[in-house]
Amino acid sequence: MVCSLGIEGSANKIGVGIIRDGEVLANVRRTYITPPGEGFLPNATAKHHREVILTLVQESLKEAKIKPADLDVVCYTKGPGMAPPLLVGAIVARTLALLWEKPLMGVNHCIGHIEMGRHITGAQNPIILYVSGGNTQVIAYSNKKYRIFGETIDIAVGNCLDRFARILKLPNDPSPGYNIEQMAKNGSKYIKLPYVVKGMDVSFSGILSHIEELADPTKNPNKRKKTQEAESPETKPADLCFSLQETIFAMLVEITERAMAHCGSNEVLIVGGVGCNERLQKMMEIMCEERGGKLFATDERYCIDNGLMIAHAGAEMFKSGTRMPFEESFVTQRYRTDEVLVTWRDD
Amino acid sequence: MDKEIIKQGAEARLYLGKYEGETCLIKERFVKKYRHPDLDKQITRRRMKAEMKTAARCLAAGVLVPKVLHLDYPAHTLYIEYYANAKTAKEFIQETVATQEPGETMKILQDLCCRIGVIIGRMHFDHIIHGDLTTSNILIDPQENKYDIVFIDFGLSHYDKGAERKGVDLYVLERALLSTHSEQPYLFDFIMEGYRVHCGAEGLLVLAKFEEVRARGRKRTMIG
Amino acid sequence: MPQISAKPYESTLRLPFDTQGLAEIAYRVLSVDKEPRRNFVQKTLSLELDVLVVHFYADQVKNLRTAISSFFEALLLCQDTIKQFGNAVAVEPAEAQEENNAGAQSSTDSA
Repeated sequence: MVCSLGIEGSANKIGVGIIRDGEVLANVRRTYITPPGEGFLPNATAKHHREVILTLVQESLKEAKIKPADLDVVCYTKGPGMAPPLLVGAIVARTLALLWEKPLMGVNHCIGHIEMGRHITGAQNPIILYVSGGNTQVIAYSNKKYRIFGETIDIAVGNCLDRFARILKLPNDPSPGYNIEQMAKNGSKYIKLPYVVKGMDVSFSGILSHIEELADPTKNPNKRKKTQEAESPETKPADLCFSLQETIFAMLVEITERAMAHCGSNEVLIVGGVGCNERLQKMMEIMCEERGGKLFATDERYCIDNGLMIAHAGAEMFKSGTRMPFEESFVTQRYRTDEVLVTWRDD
Repeated sequence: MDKEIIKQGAEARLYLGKYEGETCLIKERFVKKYRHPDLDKQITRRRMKAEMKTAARCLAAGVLVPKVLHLDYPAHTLYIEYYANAKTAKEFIQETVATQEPGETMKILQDLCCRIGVIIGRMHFDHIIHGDLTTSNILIDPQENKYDIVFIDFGLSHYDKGAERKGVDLYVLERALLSTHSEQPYLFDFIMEGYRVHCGAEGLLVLAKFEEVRARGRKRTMIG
Repeated sequence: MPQISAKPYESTLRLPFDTQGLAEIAYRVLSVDKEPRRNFVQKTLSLELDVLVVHFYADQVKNLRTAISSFFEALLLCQDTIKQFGNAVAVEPAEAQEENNAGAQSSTDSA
């Protein structure tokens, strides 16, 4: 029996989860929502997290109906992420571990997403598409490491969506990506955008600047005239959202399929905040069907950053004998998925 | 026409067939239903065109590639010269590692990689960006006591004079080697040895760009 | 360690806790994070029974302020966590009692 509490706060979500032997006992979360058109800054995000984190710990214990004494390990996100909000989770986790006299475990955020996805869906050895505000990676497990086969060479897919949502002044509530998805449902006209796949890698920054100009021609005075001539006067935001999704998701499905062909795999697991986009899931499903493969995906409770995934991955590490000296419980902004030795898998 | 299917890839089927009486490879790209039809058409067309154009450019530059014999846009099909005895560099490397002594393996792979590097340098010198450099897209065609190196799959290729795209081309190759041949981490260094031989002053700019692209990858904070 | 000039700006904080045990928890929690290298600030933590002593050296007043204010943020969070969850041991009242007594004892000693 391993009972584990996990704290996640690497970006604008702060969450606490409790899991006991694979059974979800609690998974509570708050999101720092900024005004339309604004992103979240590290120090303001940390302030938000400081204000709610202890309430969330209380809520999770209450929901799980357990006492601190019932826990075996306290886990927190070690990285990657923004340092100030990461530190909030780390300091609370350290203090709790010492107060409750429990071991402390630092968890890689990306590994948390992967293991949570595998646990919830039951996918055994899938190709993993990890898509969020800070990450775009195609990952496959081999020989005790989650290896990155493809990734973005510039900005993350979620960052591309978020920044475009800000250009359109879409609300950040519940998330900019969600509002793009809703808006895209009203679009139908496909507007040609750059499509950039390089091997198994992708690039989004060129697409973003291109679509920014389409949405707001004043952005680039040199091209202003040309753009106005080329585009019909009513380039609707809905069509832009639609076209943006169609283009960047097609790129993601393409590199995922390449990785499947490369590794001879038939399963795909989508994780990360962008992973709950239904259009992306649908496109991936069609690709899988055509190959006789299977898609595994989860809903927003597990896809979007949460404390449960940290609790679960930390529990797996703990069960397989991993221990972290307390002095090493720092946080790190850069922490690659393939740096982690996967001690809990034997395949 | 009788067609013998030899490979089902992620975006195309490969058949063995005939073109004007000669045995050839038929590469048929299929419609991807997950993509918007306009986007699908645009991608398929662009990639077929790239394959044909780049093959011609490579031949002009003295880089060995299969000739494109015929292009059938409506059927999204290419008819390509067939290398019957060739295997991929990926297979060649794996076989070498499995069958040769470590010392001999190093010698063989160093020779291979150096030659590959020279060819990539040659392509970049003529502003040809392959776009999908992997050991699956390089063929080893055995000849008497030696072998030819043949580059294939130019669907993602383009023509670009800038150093940035060339640097990214090398970065994509390095990443592909790391994931496909993780037990032979020296391969990319050997390739770069060959690349440096003929790359000239412009090549040095590419190498600087490559380091920049690489550093960007390491620096990416990956938030969220 | 960053290079600090021969005449550094300095600051010492003395932070008493209810018990020596809690001071030690805060000491361990707050000792983990090093100052960012480009801050040009040195921070040393030590314990004097139930008092956490933190000493800062900086090359500029501005950097000193930044280091101290971010330290305070971490300290307050740690203190709040202790306040809310420190008496969770109250589930086993006998033990909690004992610990409190021990703490009270040592703080008297140090005074």
